[in-house]
Order: sequence, then structure tokens, then C-alpha cells
Amino acid sequence: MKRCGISPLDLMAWMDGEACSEDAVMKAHVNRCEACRAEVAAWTSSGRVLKDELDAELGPVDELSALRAIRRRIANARDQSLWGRLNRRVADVWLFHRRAVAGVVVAAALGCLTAPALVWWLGQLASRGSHFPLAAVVVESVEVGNDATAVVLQKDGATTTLIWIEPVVGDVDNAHRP
Amino acid sequence: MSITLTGLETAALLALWTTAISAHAQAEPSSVPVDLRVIYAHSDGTEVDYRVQDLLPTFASLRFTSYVLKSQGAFALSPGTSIRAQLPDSTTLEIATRSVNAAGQLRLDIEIKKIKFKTTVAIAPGATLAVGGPPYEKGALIFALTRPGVAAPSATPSPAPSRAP
Repeated sequence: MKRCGISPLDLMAWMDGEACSEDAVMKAHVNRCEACRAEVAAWTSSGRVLKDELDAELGPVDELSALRAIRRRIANARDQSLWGRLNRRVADVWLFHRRAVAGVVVAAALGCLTAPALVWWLGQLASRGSHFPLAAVVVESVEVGNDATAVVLQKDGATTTLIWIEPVVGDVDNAHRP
Repeated sequence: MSITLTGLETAALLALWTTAISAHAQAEPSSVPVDLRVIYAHSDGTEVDYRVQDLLPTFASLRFTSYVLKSQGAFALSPGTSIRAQLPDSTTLEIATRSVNAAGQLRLDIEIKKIKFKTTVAIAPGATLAVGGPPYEKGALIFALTRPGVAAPSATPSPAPSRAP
């Protein structure tokens, strides 16, 4: 078969779509040139055979399998994390012991709601001293020097306590204590 | 991940929050207000300041006839701190705050160094401690420390005072 001036590389480039600017010229040439047409037919045929053989070897390819594998790895990582395990444990407890969990929550809520009232009541009891009355003023200790004398005047039920210091014992002029 | 609260969980959280606030309210106060009045008691005349009228039943057993308020002040006492007040006779009154005990009484150390007087007292809300005796002009000085608040009924007597050697 007589060869034309088109090289096999130019012909391959045209088949691969890399000769866009001369596409029409190449197409007209291939239609006219018997050698080029035969070569294009041979390459097309061999490419189809190669694809068929590849498909036969690989079998059916699932395009989403890779995506599915990635998602599976993400799920595994999430399940292995502390938060994931805790979440799963809580979900299991809630699923299988729902009534018990609800009971505990209600009991805790009731306890927390009544606790302030109890604390307030105990505080009132302590401050009012309904059972154990407290003195308004408790004089724990008194010390005076210079031969002075101290007298504590505290009446039952009174809120005022008086500590009277007599600076000099026996000084009649300054003796105001009762 | 979204977090949703059921009605029960919301109630539990609200209850815990209320408890926390209540516990905080019952906690020991950071500072306790007290009022200090310095009174000049003498027997020249019968003048009685209206601001010391509440103390007259206690002063009834004294032999003075006139009570004049020389100065008045308000303080906020915090546990572990102390304050000093200058009395008219140039002596210094020192009040050190110890704590607020379980019964809500404010424990104080009170000292007048000039006359070597020292006492430790616990004062309930609404109660007054008056200390008198130091000579001043023609009579004596009395200072009254009052803790504002609602007074509780008094029943427990104080221990007998001691005397320094």
C-alpha cells in the first residue's frame, strides 16, 4: 500500500483529538487515503480488543466501592473514639433500661428541687434557734489589767450585752457600775 | 452531632442550678457589716441622744443621767481582718474579726491597749455589745458595737469573765 505524507504520529495525534485545528483536513485526508484509513481501522480494532480483554480480566467494577471503603474507615474510627464508645454505651443503656434511667432522672430532679427548701429550712432552724436558742452576744473571754475589774451585764432575752470596766478598784468617784 | 434535652433532663439541670445558687446563698458571707457608736456618759444634765435610745434599757443600771453620741461609724468586717477606731480620749479601739461561726455569730477580738482590756465575743445578727468604763472628762466612754440584722431570742448565758493577773 502506498504511503502518503502523513506520519503515523500525526495520525495518532488526530485520533487522540490533539489535532483540533486540522481536524477537518485530517478527516478529509483519511477518507481519501486508503493507507491511512486502514491504519486507523487497525488501531481502533486493537484498542477495542485491548479494552475487552481488560474488562474480561477485571470483571464488573463498582464505582462506589472506594467511597464505601472510605466511609467504612471513618465509621470505624468514630466507633473507636472515647466519645463514640461513650455515646454507644449511653445509647445502649437508654435503649435497654429506659424506665430505670427515667426513674433515676426523676428522683434526682425531685431531690435537687427539694434540697434548696431543706437547706433553707435548716438555716432558718439554726438562726432562729427554735430548739437550741443562742445568746445574742456570747462573751467568750474578758481580760483587764492595771487592777481593773470587768463586769458583764447580760439579761435574758436582751439583745444588748454590756461589759463595764472599772479602772481602779475602790475608787469611789469613778464607781458607776451597778 | 446535635444535643437535645428532654423535659426531664431540663428539669434536672434546672434543679442542680437552683441547688448551686442556694448553696452559694447559704455560704459564709465575705464581709459582715457592723455599726460602732462612741457614747459619752456623764451625770451633768439629763441629755440623751435619740441615737442611743435603744441602749438605755441596758444602761439603766448605770448611775449616769446623760448619754451623748460622740461619733458613729459603719464598717464591713471580713474574717481575718482588723480595724482600728480612735476614741475621743485618744485611745485606740482595735477590732479583729475571727470568723462567722456555724450559728451565724460573728466572732471578734476587741482590744483597748491603753487600759489593757481584751475580750473575745460572738455577736449574733441584731445584737449589740457595749463596752464602757474608760474615764473621759466628767464621766466615762462607752462604745457600742451593733451588728445589723434580725435579732434572735437570747437564752444562753455567757461564761463568767476572767480577770488578768
